[in-house]
Amino acid sequence: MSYDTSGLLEFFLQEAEEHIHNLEEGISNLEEITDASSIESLFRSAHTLKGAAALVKLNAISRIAHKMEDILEELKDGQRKADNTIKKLLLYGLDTIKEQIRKVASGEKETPGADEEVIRFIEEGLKAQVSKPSKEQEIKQVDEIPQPVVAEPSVEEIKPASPVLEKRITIGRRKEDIELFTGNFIRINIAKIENILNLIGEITIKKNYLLQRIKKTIDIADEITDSGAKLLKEVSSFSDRYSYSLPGSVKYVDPLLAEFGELEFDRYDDLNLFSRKLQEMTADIAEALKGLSEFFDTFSDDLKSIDNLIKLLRTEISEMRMIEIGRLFQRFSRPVKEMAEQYGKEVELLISGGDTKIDKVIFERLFDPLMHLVRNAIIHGIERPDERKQKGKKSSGVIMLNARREGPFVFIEVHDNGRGITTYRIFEEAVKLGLMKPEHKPSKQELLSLIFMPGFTTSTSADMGSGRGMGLDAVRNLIAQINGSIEVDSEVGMGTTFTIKVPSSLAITNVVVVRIESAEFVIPMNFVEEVTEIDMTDSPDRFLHRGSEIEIKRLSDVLGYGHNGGVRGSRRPLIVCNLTDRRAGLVVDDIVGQEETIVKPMNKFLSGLTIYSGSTISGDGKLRFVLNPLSIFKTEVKPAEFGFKEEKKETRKSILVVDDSLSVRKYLTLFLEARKFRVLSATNGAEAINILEENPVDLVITDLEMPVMHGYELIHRLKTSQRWKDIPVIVLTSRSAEKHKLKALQSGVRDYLVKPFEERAMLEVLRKYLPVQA
Amino acid sequence: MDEARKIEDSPEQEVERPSYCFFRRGGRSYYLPLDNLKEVVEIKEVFPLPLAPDYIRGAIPLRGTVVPVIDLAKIYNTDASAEEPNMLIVVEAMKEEIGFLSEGLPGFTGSREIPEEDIIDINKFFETYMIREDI
Repeated sequence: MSYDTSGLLEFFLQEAEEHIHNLEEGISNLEEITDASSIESLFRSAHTLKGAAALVKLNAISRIAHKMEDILEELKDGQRKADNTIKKLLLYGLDTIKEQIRKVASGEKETPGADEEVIRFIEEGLKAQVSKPSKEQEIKQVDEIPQPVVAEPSVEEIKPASPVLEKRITIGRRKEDIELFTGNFIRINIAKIENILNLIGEITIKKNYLLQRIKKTIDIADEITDSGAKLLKEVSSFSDRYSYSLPGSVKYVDPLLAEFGELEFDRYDDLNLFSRKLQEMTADIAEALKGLSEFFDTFSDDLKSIDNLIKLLRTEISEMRMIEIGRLFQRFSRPVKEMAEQYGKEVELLISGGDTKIDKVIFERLFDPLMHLVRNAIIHGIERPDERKQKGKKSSGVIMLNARREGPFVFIEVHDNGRGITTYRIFEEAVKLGLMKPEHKPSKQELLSLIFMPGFTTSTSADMGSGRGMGLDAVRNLIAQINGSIEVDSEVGMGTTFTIKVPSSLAITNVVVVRIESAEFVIPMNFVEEVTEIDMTDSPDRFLHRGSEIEIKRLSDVLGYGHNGGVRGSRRPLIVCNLTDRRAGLVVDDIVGQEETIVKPMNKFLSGLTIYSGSTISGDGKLRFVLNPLSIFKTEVKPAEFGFKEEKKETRKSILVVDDSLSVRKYLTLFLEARKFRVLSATNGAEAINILEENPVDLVITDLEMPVMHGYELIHRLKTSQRWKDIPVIVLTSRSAEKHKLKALQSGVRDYLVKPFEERAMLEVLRKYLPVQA
Repeated sequence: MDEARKIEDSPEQEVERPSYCFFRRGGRSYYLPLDNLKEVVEIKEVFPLPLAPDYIRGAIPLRGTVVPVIDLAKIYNTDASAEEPNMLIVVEAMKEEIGFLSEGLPGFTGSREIPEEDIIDINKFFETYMIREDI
């Protein structure tokens, strides 16, 4: 090769194997796949493969992948039906890709023109499929399609007939084709790694316990050494005393006593002997104790090195389930394009730091918050092209996704070069809400952080463009769930940058252990900004922290332990928590320590207690609940000021209607409102998500075809979201075909109604899922 | 020997296979389908869960999971002071484990002659009494 791609190539091979595996599995079961997300995942695999191959200049592979991507896209959009023919054509393409990759992996070049032949063949096959749509002919068609040469048992019985293919077979693709690459990679289920990490977690806890115990043992050893020294001293002085009373130094005046003396001499002798023995023994003990303490010294050194090894092991294994964040960033290219189009913006998406690795678990849970931020950037941040030109900016705006790793954290920036956030509007709003006084001189940062307050964004959205609030509060909460935090910076006219900080791995969490009376609780370190002390003499409710006043709460009050007299008039530990939009202080009885532990999510039975975000078990088996400072210091937004009063008192069930047709929305709204439902409506999936972020919804009725985010995607998002997965979803569509219905039902939809719907059928469905009211 | 053989020989004979377990709490018996029963543990220390409703006495750690400790006497308003429960009947519902306080070890019985109202439908119980976020 004339260009050096050796380094890149290895990454490509690693990545390609995963995608090929995914495609292979998916295509083999193509006819059984009905949910949009699975096809979507196949589509993405082909798409990624195409891009990655092009990157390492494997153009034939890239072009074949492109062709497959096209077909999968048509399947995804329902323009084409997944049948045996398609399956075989796709497998044929995949097979050629595999053959080429194998060549490349063994140091050869791609076969020139390998792609052309395949693509021609696929196109011919597709034409044949289109021209013969009837089922009978389809089956016939299948017979005509030659066997794609893949060692896939389910297709083996079909005989090759095409001359083109026969030629290929004689060229010699054999069963071994399926053995890809050099064998340096194996696939492991992420759950297995999870299990190993859990075990390491348990070991970590046990190790912590052992360290505690060792400390105790060392204390005991010290005590023994101490007592040993005392004993030695005592014995020495005892021996000394008796050595003075040795025979010869005693004069007996009375001959009678002198006779007794004989006996006493014996006794003295015995005592002497005994004391000498004691002295020796004590010296031995002292020696042994010295040895013991030396042992403990090296023992704790050994333990520390085990500790280091465990840490190393944990990092190594955590690395195993780390994936490059670039793959997440890639997912935004299409939505950005679509949304920009919808809102009449020109947007260019730039990505950097895509090779930063991040825990798979965090990776998955970053999509939603990032999507929010990107959507906001397009809708509220980036100006329209004409407006940009007026300001002397390039007509197309830029959204940049950037990732970098610093120590155990990954920083992700979402930057746009749009209009920025005008802080004086935030200030006006804050004054209006009584959060700040007019004479206040808050810093820019203080003002900006207010946009994360629940309900606040609704009122500031006016100056950020158009439309509704964006639920940055929800973004913050989503990120807090993965122990992360978010900050914002903005320059008017220059743009806005959100910086998300998340741990690169979730397996082990650093916590502060606190005590209230006899119970222990933990607070995740990522919330803890500082641990200090406070004088509680006058039961203050404010504290001056780094120049600004912060709210403080007594943990014993929060948890209902009540005031105990002892707390008054004394200094108490104060934990200053960083809540993103502000700081707040938590007063505790005592701080027990800081440790690394595994946090498990709350038992579902108890999950309504939002003040706890999980539980941990200490090394000696104590159960400790994890406190959620966001919940403890939940801002009680005054209802009247935010117009939430109605919502709070809402007893009606809420139904969200998602449909791009205005007449359907209107009709349903009238129909449902007449039946005393509260109706919310959205024109597409993305809007629906926005509404769901901010409103309690009891049931969703959605169309399937919609712009920006179609119904399947919405359903998928709902069903995979912890928060929304239990909301019943009903599909209302003009698509009456059984396959759509099946696809929808398989993706978790409760019921499927076809337009135009019968009122009675609709009511019956509602009665089923909203039993109280309907 | 003979005695033993006799018993061995006649397992089908009118010995109803137990299909329910029952336990006592606050002067009342509660019945659970045997399939629901996961294990019975002796209670050593119940860790309090502040802010939980009064029928949740707290929780205990059990092999890495956390099991809420539920006092049915508080739910059915029976005399809770009668005897201090010393056992926890751990059941699985909605893929989570929950535990009921019990005075002594549970017993086993066939399905006949169980008062309907004493049988606990574990999933329904879970749905009804799980703590929900108050809005």
